[in-house]
Amino acid sequence: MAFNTGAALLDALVLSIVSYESTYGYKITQDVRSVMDVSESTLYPVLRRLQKNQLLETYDREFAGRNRRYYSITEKGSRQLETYRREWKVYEEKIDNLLFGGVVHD
Amino acid sequence: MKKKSTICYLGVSSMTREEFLAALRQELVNVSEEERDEALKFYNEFLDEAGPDQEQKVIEELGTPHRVANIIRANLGLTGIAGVQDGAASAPPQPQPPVQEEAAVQKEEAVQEEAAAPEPQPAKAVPQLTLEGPDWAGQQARQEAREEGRARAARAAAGLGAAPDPAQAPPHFQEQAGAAYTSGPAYAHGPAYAHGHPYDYSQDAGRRRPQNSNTWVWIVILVLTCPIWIGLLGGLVGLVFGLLGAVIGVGAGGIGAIVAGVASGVGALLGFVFGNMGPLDAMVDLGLGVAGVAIGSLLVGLCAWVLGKGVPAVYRMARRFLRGLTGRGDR
Repeated sequence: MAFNTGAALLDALVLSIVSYESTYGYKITQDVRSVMDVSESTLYPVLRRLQKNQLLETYDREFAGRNRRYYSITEKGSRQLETYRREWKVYEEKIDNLLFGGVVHD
Repeated sequence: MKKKSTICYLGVSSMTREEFLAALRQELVNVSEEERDEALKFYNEFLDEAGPDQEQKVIEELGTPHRVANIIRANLGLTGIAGVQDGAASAPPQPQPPVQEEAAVQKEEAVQEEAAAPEPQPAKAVPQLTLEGPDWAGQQARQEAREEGRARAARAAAGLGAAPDPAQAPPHFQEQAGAAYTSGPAYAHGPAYAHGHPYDYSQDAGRRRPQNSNTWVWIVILVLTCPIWIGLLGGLVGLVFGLLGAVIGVGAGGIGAIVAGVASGVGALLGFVFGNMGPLDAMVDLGLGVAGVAIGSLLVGLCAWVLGKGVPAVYRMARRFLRGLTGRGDR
């Protein structure tokens, strides 16, 4: 990807991934990395911070004889995600306007 | 510090999972036990999920334990949500001063970023060429701004990996996009340079030459070439008036068509009413009349439009042309 977008987008993507289905760190990392060029080691601090800020919460499940920690979105996280989605729309529209001229807006 | 991490990095490919986790634990000694355990638990599970086949690849992709630890530590102090200023954020910031190492990581990444950015660089040549030019100061300012923008972009890019800045949250998108764009077109001042030079010289030339004996040359040339330019001018004026006449002719034709159409329609109605015309003939005449009026209106409208839009434009053009001509003639 030629475009490297900011930390807020990273948060938004993580929240969105988890909002559809509670899932675990490795999966979240792979999903984010499928659209954004970030290193594998970038995701842990993001998950930890979102968890500390109570946007995400975790629970443990056993899987194949070992533990798997799942992340799920909180009420607060859902609200935050909505904010991000709105902001993204605005941002996206501005970028589209510049990149594609009148096509999008006019 | 930088050297050490480079050496570590080279050695990473041979690192086993146990070595990686042990080294990570070692790197995180000055972090609270809770944070350390969380991180190790996460990476342990992470490698579980990757599976034995992918394990080595993932360890390599994660980077050195040193780097992974730096990224973790850099984020510990920042509890603000990356997007929104949220005062109610929990978890007290932990007193962690890994400033130096963190800076080293960021610098490394920034350097890579800089090197990776494909930038056309006529920058070095430009200042030399324009040193004497009047736009020198402006160029320099622009270049400084550009360099700052680039540094900012690199910093922002490095920050994404290491430390999301809570202060510049949703604008963070914009901020970064903006910075990236300032960094992009390094040749932004290229056109300014290309523009500036020929322009300045031509101005100089225009100012100096006529004040010498060149004025006489011009007058002689003008007199000698008068048969040519008078003819051209006359032709041009003729063309303009010819076009004007054509337009007016079209308008007149339109008016004629309207009049004829109305006459035909009225004639047909009268003929039908007074009985000296069959209903079919009257109908045909009426239709022709209406068609005539329609075509006539169209032509009149066209004429009005051309007169309204075209004539002022021609007038303006002629005035500019004449002004240019007299302006040059004066000198």
